[in-house]
Amino acid sequence: MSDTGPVGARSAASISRDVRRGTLALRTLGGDVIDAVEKRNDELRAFVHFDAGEARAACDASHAEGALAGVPIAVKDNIATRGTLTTCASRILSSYRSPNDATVIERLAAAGAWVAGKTNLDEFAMGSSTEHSAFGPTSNPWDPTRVPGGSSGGSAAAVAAGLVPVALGSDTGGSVRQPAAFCGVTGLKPTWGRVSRSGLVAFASSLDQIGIFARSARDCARVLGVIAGHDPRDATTSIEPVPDYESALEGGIAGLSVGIVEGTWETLDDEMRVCFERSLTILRDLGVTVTHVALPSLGLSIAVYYIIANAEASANLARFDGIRYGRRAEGDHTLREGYVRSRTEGFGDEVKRRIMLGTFALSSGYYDEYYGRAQHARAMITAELRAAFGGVDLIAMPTTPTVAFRKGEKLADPLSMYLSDVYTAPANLAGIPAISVPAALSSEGLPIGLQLLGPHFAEPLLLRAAAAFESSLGVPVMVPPR
Amino acid sequence: MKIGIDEVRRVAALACLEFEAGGEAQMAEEMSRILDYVDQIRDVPSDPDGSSLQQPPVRLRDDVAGESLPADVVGASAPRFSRGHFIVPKVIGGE
Repeated sequence: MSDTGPVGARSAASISRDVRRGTLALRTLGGDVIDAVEKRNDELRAFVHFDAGEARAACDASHAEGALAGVPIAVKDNIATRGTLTTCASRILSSYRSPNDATVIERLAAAGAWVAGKTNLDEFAMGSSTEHSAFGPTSNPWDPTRVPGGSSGGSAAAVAAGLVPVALGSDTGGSVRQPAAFCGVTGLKPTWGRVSRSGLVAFASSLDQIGIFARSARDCARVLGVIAGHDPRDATTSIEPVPDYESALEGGIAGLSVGIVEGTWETLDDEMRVCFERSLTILRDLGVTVTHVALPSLGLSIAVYYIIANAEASANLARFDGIRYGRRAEGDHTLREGYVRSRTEGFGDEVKRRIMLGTFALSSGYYDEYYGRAQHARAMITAELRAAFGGVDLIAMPTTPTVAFRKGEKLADPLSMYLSDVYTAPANLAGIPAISVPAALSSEGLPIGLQLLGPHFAEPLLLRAAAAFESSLGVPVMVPPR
Repeated sequence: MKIGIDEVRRVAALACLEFEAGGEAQMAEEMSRILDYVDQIRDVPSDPDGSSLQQPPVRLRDDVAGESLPADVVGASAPRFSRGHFIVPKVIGGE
């Protein structure tokens, strides 16, 4: 990765080093980021809330000390930032300004980072293409006729286009890893409980996790080290000590064992399958032993995911009724009419569809048939993964079944869109960490990702494997051809 | 699983949503298609009490009063706020 040149094309590690040394002025840095965003954002719509004055003020207010001194960060617009809009790309929250920062934002600021702006997403993080946004779709920087993936597509596009070195997203079923793969950047979903979700607008609480986009495993490690750890404001955060993720990057991965799951990649189209097999060859060349593992229930993942996630979404989004939260429908009406009109006007089609499916799965007569069975199947998948990690250190899978698809291609077919998450949802169901790293370019010049999964709290090993894979690939930076 | 218009109306009422006539038919069709796919889990035994899913232990914070946001800061995000109170619409009849 470049250590010189425009700020957005540089690593977070090199920016913070130069800011601490005093060889890179915050004012210069802020100006570079503002120029880059203003030049590209009309075309990409990576940011949905970007104000040059606010960005300049945030940069000026950051400090020149800390692990992320001066580093600009793009933040998905479902993560609260004090005083600025946090809309979840929804009409129902179109004017909401949070009274406080999410814990992750506080921790980033304490480490010297500053928020450059808020990025686009599928409404309430429900989608795989960033087309379900009240602000319109984001374009993939590699090919603007294609989607960047979702739901954190704006964050992925901002990093891929070199507007910022790192960004935050949220990953409920793959919403960091899938767009990372589509945009040719690295995307980390930490262990559930590793990073506080205080200030993350809830979609599916047993699955949601804040994740990181960067152009290297090292930058992911740097940011994770800052944001990880127990938070009294989020009782689901773990008290597990936070290791030094950057020092864990060293040492290579010779001697590790990586499992591959039969039936998960053999039916891919030729190009995706060959790419995955080539990635396995690279891992073997690094001294890794590749063996088969059995995960017989993995095929249920998407069905299980869309029952549990939608059930939790229907409960979490019940609060948006125009009274407790959310924009209120105009006019005189009864209490119930007010709820119904506010929600019907405020939510987009995909959010309504998921609320309907979740409400159905939890309703009388169907709860045991759907939700009860899904919970049992989730436990089976989790147990199988736990058993698999008894025999291998990591598991490798493709991140996505295809390269980035064209805008509009899957909008009329929700099930087809849902199946985009087929390789990513299992990690959320089991609460384990996973990372997507750039693995190759397709014949059309589009990025393809490799996904590595590890047992709970195995982020150091995952990041070390990702770093070794990156360096072996010989293409550590995959900036779109602009 | 086939979902009909009546089922869409029942679930929409529970979810506090409303669909136009064409929207109800479309929702019925989309839900049916998705549930057809999801129905593969019907071969899995049910877990009505959720006991098969072990949740990691959580550490609750000490039960002591701490700092909270000032009322006027919270009230700034409400449509109407006066003297420490949220002002909500007058309820006219109904439930």
